[in-house]
Amino acid sequence: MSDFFPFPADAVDLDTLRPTGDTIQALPRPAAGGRPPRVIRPTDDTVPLVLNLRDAPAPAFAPAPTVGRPPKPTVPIWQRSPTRALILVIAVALAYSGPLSQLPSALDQVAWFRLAAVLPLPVVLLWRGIRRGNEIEDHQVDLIVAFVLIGSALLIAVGDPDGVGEPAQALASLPLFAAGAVILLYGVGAIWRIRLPLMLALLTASPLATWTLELAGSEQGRLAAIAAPVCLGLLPLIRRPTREVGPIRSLGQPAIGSAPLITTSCLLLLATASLAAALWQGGPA
Amino acid sequence: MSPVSPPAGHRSKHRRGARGPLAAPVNEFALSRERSAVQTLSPGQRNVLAGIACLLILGAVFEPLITAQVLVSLATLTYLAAITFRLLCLRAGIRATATIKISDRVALAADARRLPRYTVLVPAFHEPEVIGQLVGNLGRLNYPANKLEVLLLLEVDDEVTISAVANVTLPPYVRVLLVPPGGPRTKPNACNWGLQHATGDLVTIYDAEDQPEPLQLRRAVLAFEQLPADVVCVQAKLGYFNVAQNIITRWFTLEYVTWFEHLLPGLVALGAPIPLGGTSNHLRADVLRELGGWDPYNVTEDADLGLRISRACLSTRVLASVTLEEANSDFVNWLKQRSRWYKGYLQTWLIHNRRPGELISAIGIKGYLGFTLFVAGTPLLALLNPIFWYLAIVWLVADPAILEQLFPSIVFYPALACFLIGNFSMIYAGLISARAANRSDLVFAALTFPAYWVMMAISAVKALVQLVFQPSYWEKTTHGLTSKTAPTEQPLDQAGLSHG
Repeated sequence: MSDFFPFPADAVDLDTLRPTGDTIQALPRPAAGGRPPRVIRPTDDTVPLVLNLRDAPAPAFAPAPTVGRPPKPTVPIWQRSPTRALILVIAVALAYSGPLSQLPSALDQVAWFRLAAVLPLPVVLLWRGIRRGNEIEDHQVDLIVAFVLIGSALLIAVGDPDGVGEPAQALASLPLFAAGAVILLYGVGAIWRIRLPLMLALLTASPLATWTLELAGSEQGRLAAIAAPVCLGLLPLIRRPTREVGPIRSLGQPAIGSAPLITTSCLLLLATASLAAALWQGGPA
Repeated sequence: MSPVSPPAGHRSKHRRGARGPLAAPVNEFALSRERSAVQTLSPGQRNVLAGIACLLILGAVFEPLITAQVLVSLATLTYLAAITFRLLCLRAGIRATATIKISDRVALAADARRLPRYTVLVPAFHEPEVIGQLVGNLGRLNYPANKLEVLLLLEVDDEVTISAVANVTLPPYVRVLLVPPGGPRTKPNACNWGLQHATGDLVTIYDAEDQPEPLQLRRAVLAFEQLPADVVCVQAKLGYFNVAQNIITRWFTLEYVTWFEHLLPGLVALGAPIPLGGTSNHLRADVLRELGGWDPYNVTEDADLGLRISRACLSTRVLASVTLEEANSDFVNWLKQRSRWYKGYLQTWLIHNRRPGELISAIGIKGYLGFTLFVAGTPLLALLNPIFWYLAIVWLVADPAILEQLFPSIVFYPALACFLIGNFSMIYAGLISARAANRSDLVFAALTFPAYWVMMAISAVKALVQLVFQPSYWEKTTHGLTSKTAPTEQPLDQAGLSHG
């Protein structure tokens, strides 16, 4: 008897472990044409559940060397990032069709401002939104967070917290709605990848931005608005890395430079737009 | 005294809760259904809950404002009580000398011939990536090999992990046990299988990626020798080896520092039951079997066991020895793990409250309050937090009239105190813990802790949903994420926790 304990023989899952004489034809089950099954031999044939893997033989076959790049897995069209970005745009357009249709006639600067701030979202999603292969997913979390965000968007759309009226009121909820929709389409992990444009959109939709716009109507505000793009231009949003890293990259993840670059550009565009808005008829009515 | 002699005088009649129609066992150690999470709610609890739900519906229909005011008042009271208890715990933990310290010199001087046989249970499921680490980590344990038994517990159909184990050379004291199918696929189910075959006088659990401090087993043996016979479990502290990986790992580390350095010693000092940590709890094997082993249906079987230890008038102490684990660095992975913990805490509270009178007579009113405020209070606070923040934001931004009605002045001022003092004190507690652990790198994590509370809130909602729909579902935590990103292993003495 070895140093192993005797275990009840009925504890063996015969579907998985098939005793063949004094050996156990064991796991893993090979795919068709794949690696052959490995034989794991217990040291004592009365002890089927204890696997003495120390004595296990080496794999009979070495894995076949891969030649060149492995073929890219085919992703169904509805799972692709551009498709989902398109769905997002359509969903937002449908949900906000009312305020969006009023926008051209309303000449509402706040509303335009808020709409412009959401535009970088689908653009960044095109680059960075797709689910990563190794990403840990949880659909319950997706649903919970999306429910909270979309629910909050509804409350804001109904409640008019900053009293700016339609359609600006409805568009204040747009970033939250869009974030909820992004989670449903791309998973909660995507929110981290679009954090910069999302923060920008949320800030723009907040009462803080409304107050800032109102301030921009004043003389000091106009001066501040002129100074803002200059300051933004000077901020180290795009920086030159150390020489070892290589070419110029943007702030953010070193591997993916395009998304923050777009965000930065949008930020600068937005600052310019705010300047124009501030100068145009002296701020919001 | 033998370090593992059975304690005299504990109330064995309470040990398995075998009484009435729910007495049928759920595991090999005769743990009754009544003490198990196999059923989340007992018939009595279901009736009480249904009654409360009816009252709420009636109230919402006929007197919605008063009903809402009552709910807000109850939530505020819960807040106040839970925060006060936490602060008391923290204060007691800072002052207490409840942590058992065994010096390196004493641990190394222990006579190897007198050391008892030790069983280490290592359950693993779909974790091929950490099997390689396991051998190295357990190989560092300083314990006589002829008295050490490591049982690696694998599910019988877990082909990937079995293959990974087959590709490493295991030391002679490590044996692989395949857990037969049939029971729930949970860690406690695997541990029960391991316990059935364990030959050690003392038993402990490590996760496959754990890095226990090398002298931990020796320290535990000597601690049992020094402690009274009613101490049947010593819980070693847990820390993380990948603290600097990202902000989530920093928050997590700070939380663990507070938990093991202050809150658990505080609970010991206050005489409240200790919810055990998932690993590194060292137990007397015979008493563990008598207590009914682990509940295979409870997703925080460790917390439940801590309670059962208290109910049997036995006790747990905290051991000054650190096991380093991998801090969860992924947002979704963290939510999964935390939701399981919260769900398990709620399960544990519900199970032990099936007969509240019996529980109070076993652990005393102080112990009961501590148990309720700590075990049920933790997920409840996480659930209430977002609601009150939400209301606070709405109040600040829009100031709707309904909020003034919801918070009459008798409720408003305590709620405001909770909001201001509670949030401040929790951040301050984090700062104190970071300071006490001499971890200046955790100060930023302490200051930004409210963002971590948002994560806690999401996981609490998920836990509540799962408690209703999937009560015994084991939300698997993915390990080995550190090696996939940046290895940031750090020595024990920098892990933020002190050991002997």
